Amino acid sequence: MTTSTAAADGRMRTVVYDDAICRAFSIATIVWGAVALLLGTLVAAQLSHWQANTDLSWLSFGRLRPLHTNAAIFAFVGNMMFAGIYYSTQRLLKARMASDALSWFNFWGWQVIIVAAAVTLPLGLTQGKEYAELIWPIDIAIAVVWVAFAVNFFWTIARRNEPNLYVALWFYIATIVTVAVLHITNSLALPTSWIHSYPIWGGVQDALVQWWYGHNAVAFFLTTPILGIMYYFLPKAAERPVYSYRLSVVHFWSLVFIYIWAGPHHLLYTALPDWAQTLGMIFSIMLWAPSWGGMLNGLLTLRGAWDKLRTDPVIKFFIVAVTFYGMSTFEGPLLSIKSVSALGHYTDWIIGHVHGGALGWNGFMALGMLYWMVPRLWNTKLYSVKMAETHFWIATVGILMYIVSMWVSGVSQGLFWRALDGDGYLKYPDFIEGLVASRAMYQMRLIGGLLFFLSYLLGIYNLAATILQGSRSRVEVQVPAMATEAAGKAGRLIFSPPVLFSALVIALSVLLGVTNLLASPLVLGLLCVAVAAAGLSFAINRDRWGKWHDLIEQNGLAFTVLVLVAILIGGVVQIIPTVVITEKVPEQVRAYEAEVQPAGAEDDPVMAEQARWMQQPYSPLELAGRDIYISEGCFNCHSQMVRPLRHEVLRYGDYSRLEESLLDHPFQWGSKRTGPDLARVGGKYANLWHYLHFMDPRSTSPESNMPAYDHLKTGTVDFDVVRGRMQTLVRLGVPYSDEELRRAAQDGLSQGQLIREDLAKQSVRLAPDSELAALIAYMQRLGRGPQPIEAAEMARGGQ
Amino acid sequence: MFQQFFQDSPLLVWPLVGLAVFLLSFIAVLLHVAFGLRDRRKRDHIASLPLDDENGGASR
Ligand code: HEC
Repeated sequence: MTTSTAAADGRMRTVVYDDAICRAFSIATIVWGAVALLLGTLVAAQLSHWQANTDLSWLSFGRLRPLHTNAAIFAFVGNMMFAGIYYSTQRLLKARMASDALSWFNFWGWQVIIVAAAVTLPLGLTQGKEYAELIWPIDIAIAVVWVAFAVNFFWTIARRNEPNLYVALWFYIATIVTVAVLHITNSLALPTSWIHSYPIWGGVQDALVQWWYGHNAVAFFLTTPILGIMYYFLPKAAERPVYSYRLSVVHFWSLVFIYIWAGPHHLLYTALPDWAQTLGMIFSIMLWAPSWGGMLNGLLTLRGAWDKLRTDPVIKFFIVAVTFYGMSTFEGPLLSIKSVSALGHYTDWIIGHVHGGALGWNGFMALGMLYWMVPRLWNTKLYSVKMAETHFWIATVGILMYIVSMWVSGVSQGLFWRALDGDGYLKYPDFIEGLVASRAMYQMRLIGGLLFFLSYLLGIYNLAATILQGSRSRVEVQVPAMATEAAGKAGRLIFSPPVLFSALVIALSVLLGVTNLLASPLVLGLLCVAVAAAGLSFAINRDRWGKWHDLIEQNGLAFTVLVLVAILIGGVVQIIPTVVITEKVPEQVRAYEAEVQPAGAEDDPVMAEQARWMQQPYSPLELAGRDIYISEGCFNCHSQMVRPLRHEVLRYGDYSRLEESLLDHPFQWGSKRTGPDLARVGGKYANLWHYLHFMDPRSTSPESNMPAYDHLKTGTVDFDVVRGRMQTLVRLGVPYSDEELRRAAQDGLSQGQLIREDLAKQSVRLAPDSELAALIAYMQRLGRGPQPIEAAEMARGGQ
Repeated sequence: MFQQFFQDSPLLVWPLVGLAVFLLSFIAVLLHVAFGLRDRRKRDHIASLPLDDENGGASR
């Protein structure tokens, strides 16, 4: 049996694996996968044929797209990840999960969360942050379920019967720790009611935290757990060990360390400070190396199974999955280069890139894993190998059509938007031209997605038939019992030379940072001495240096702490400076204005510039409009961030400044331009134009694929609710005066009245407190200062 | 340029400290892989953990 001896005390233990939980998660994966794909084809159809938005507000693109992404990430990949982790962890640790109750709490909790998401998102209940849309009570539920999973996992590690933690488990540990940190930090919010909240971060802070989260959701939810699954299931399928265990060690540590820094590559050329953009770009490019190390390790593991390639569909799925992992992790760093991002950002290229990861890497890994694991969990053979082969080929064709069409449409959008004529003006000033040019590609994407979905139905049939013909497995093994982790080892680890040395170097580096003497000769000298001493110690006693990682590997707690440190560094050094630096800006500007402006002396050009761009709070009606904008998911198609590039300034107006959105909770910079940027749309059109456009976008823009929002005409704004929200914003630093709070309803109605009167001149009737009036007020405010409401005030007899 | 970069805020030295910590850890991992993992038998044992997990199992 096993060759591990170190901690075995000679006794044998009988272990019965909990496969019921793996079966449950497998079935959930299969079901939710179909839902995610169906939603995907529906939103793809809405983009190519606007009619697919139907007349039902809860089926419109802005609300369904988040449901699609959440279903794909958290329901499909989430359940797949749990299935794989529960299956492999028990076997790698030679122990049953510590608590069946916690396992089932994890399972049912997760399914309830998914159902809650499926109910709330179509209703327009959202936080407006991509991949973190779910409202705060659901966020808390996610945290609770995740903690239950973590407790169960680490408890199982503590009760394991195998001293060494295999590399797959490291990836799981990194996943558990990091997702917890990401989720909590990004979800920090102040509730205004049971179903609504504002994030504590504002503007650029929110942008940085959001994309630190967003990018690392890709990294630690969609990549590290799947890599762990790869390191377990690929050797299983190929029936040979991983190609290089050494490479997997380097792969793991460099990936975990580097990934967490890369978030700002989603914000290149935005108002995020340059230093953070540069860091994000550099680390994203570095990321290419470890990613490809992992890909090669996977492919070379499968190399020994080429002979099975023709007979075993599992190997086929895995090979394509790993190849897509390689493709996505090459494309990612490429897109992180600033000049490439200038072309590709906001276009369909990014959508193609994401689907290479989600359908190609995650989807094919999930399918390979299911085709391998389901027959074993039900103690039978796969119902039809032929059908699985057919599934494989149709899905591959589908995904290729998807990626090619999005690449073509994305690159041509980028080129359309930036094309200048001989005189240096926009060649295609009308945004819609780019959209019209993409239409054929949108149709091709829809067909590709449909193929993937249909082939998936074939897979469901095959797996269901497999399940029906089998009977539940019961796996029982005899393993040598291992004593629980020896306490003495921790001491040995702490006092081993590498740990002492690392601690010293970190302390000196921190000292360097604290004193801010980058060239401080003394500290630098100490650092040199430390390195020399370490070299000497290493030369004398190589063995002890070599042992440190073994000790860590055998000590789950030490390992977890190290991973936590590794992932915290990247986040902390980006987020804390940004938050600290921007936190005080609004106050400083106000102080400056109070002090300098009356005297008329603009002696500080930096402050004067900041004051010029500093955002003023929204009026009650505008704030209500903004909340509708968020709730309808307009940000799924519109950005609010003009980049400092000539063609953007020509098209949309002056580039966006950091100060302009500092009071925005949440920020709405957006990530995709299916429609034009809206940062400066205020004043561009008359109220009537907006009215007609929202009632039926085709009436003003015949080729548009924007959904109609006529239901907003009958919706009413409750200004008491708005006042409550303004009060919450005050606690987050938005400077509403008591007077403004008191007059919220009055001011809101006055401003709505102005819009009503303006439209009435053109024989259009709109209630002043309708949601549509609020949205129009918000549109007209964008890119401009506070809009006058005094007409109505004058009617009251002035101030 | 360097000076200009840092006059914005003293906090910006921290990314560099973080980078230094990363490089050192990376070197440490390389050392471990090069020297700590020289024992082939041990490596093979760990690498084959996924394969020897169901001996004596009822299925298969
Ligand atoms: C499916 C993607 C999509 C969604 C969702 C969407 N739009 Fe649009 N939007 C477009 C497209 C495409 C255009 C350009 C064609 C047109 O004028 O309709 C556009 C144009 C606009 C314009 C005119 C901009 C200009 O400079 O000409 C405004 C204003 C606008 N949208 C506001 C909104 C608001 C507010 C929402 C949410 C209630 C929203 N859009 C939701 C796609 C979308």
